[in-house]
Amino acid sequence: MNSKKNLFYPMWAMAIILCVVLVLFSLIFVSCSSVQPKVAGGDNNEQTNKADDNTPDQQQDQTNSDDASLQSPTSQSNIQATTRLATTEDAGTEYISKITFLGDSTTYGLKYYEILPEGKNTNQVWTPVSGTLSLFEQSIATIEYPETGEEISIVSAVTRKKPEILLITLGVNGIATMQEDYFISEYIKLVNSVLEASPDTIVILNTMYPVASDYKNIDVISNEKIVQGNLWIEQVAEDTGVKFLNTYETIADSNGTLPANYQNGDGIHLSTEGFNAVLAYIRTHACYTAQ
Amino acid sequence: MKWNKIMAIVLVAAVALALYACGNTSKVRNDVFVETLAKEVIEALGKDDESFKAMDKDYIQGYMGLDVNNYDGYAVYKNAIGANIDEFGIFKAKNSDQAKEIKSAVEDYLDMMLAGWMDEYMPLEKPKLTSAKAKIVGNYVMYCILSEDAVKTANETLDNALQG
Repeated sequence: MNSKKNLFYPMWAMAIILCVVLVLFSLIFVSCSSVQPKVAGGDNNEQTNKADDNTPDQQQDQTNSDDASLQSPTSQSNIQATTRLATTEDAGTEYISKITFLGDSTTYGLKYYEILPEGKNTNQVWTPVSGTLSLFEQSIATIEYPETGEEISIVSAVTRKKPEILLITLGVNGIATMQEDYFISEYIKLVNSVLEASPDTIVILNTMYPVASDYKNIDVISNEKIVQGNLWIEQVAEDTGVKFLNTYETIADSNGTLPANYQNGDGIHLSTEGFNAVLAYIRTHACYTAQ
Repeated sequence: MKWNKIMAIVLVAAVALALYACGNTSKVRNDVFVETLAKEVIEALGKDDESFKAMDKDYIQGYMGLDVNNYDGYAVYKNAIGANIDEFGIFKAKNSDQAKEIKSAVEDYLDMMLAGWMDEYMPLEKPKLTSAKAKIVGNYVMYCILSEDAVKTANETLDNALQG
């Protein structure tokens, strides 16, 4: 009887070892093949699976973004080396036509006042339907895509159009309430998302414009804060390797305020003359010279 | 006679206690995920994930000034389509004291929004912000920057979802 038991002992041992190996193999296989669910905010002590939360648009963006990364780098070899764009020869209207303007109501005026060649039908101005855009909402904001009239995310628009030059004027709607770290981090997120969607796009970060001395909300949006915020924007440009355009210097008067002839009467938005001064500055501070 | 008086007092006290207990039978659930509540509110408002977008932790901590790391849950949604300032948020506190702290912090946030309001943009939307309030239900705190009707709908949805 004992010898019979001894006979089965190695068989049982082998079977147990085999089972252990199989279990270990299964565990390794499962851990390697499982997808980490994407959890965005929500419940700290409650597991939420948001892996399928991406909209079809976002999924499309990710695909296109991958395609974009395969494209060749920009052919412009004469791009200014410095972050802050220096004075250049007048790059002309052809240079302006290469720019897509993304921003808040201070950008919306380009369309409203028909500053660009195609007037209100321009495809070069990207703002939300409301005409205003806050930096602290950049991650969820949509712009009215001029070609189709659809409201799509900034990243979707960049992915679709892949602008040659994207000039961003943003921050005045958040400068009153955003702290430095948050202001900079949101701006960096925006720039990086644009560069990821379209690596060949030349991104230029424009300064915020000053407000008039009699602007009714100057206690909230002061020129001191705007000057400080413009330093943060230049810092973002340096940190992300994009360009910085100091239009503030051409718009502000000697007191650092928005002069009467450059504002539309509300103390914060530019007039036609103000926008023309901005465009002239852009043309003479081109990111590259015409080839 | 003396015993009759004592019995009467005891009976009255018992009836009073019973009535008090009956008046407090409604309990608030404490086991509903804030994300579930938020989805129910969005649905009740006739919106979807395209129009209402979830704000990330950076916004809630960096802009709203709420230390969500210590909360049991949070969900803040803002409108991303069209020209309106619609927004709401639901937070789950660990206890009633924290719920009061969250409510106070949310009220500070609403005050900050109002202080930074620019009449140049969407002036018709301002009443949504001026009338915005935070409310506590159990350990949950909700605020709404919505139209009057939408606030009512959101409040009813929250109350129903948390009914014990």
